[in-house]
Amino acid sequence: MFETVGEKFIFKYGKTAYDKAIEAACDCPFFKLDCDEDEFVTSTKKDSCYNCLFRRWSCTSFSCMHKAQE
Amino acid sequence: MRKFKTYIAIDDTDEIGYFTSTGEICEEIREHVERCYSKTTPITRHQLLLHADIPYTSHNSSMCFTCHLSEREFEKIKLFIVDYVLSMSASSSAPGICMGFEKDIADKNAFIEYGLDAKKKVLTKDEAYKMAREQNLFLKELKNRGDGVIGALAGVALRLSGNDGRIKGKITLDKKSVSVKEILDLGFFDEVRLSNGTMADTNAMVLIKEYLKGVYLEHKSVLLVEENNGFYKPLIKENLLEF
Repeated sequence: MFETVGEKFIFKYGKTAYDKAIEAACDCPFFKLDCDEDEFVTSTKKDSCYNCLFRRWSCTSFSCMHKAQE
Repeated sequence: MRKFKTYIAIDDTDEIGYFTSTGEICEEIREHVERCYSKTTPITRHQLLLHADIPYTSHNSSMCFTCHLSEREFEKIKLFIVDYVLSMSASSSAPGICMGFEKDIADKNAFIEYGLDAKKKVLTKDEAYKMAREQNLFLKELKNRGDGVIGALAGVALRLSGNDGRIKGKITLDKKSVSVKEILDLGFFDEVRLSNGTMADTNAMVLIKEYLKGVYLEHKSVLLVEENNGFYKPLIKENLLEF
């Protein structure tokens, strides 16, 4: 689901792959819902990497900051 | 004691994994102002540029609300916000706060242009301070690099534009369907519009699956809906991301 670019772990599928982002969160032991519901992006199922406290958005996708710290 | 329309915005108060957000801190400030000084308007969330050269935490958005304050109250709230943001912000964050009276803004068009630039260009702190001086606004960085001043100033500019951002929070109802008129009567939305900009029929019914969330258009809190088999359906979050 992620590719490594330098020190960044970038979600491969961009910003609108809602199902893939839910699937990625399902497989991730570090997933944590953002503390601010206003920052949720996915409304269908909340447990999505798009709603995770450890995601950092870019213009084309997001990076997982938790994976970057590991 | 004369009171004037006042804009208050903050940015960059958190860090990755932090327990609270800029939006929540702004909400607590808004509640304090509402409790002690003035009626407030809902917070708007303004999306700024996502760019590798900008050291934002996770989404680079700024929060703004308005209220009516006297000059004395303005000074008291300024001190409160500085202390509050300093104490609530994450240790590695770079918070900035911006406040000002609308009456003092010297060139609204130039200032709004600054806000729009923050959505498409990488701006500097020097540019932010220069713009704040020119527009007679209070702008202060609180710790670390203080880059939050760029977004805080842009938050005020974009709020002033009247055409940017989502309204913070959501409205949940215990009904599955409600008329447009009933929604308007709740008082949270000034208008219900179709996504193409036309006004919704006030007698039509809106089917509610989850919640209602507003956007800020033409200085109004607007609920956007789409037509769906003779009913209206509110736009879901996925469709509101451009705001």
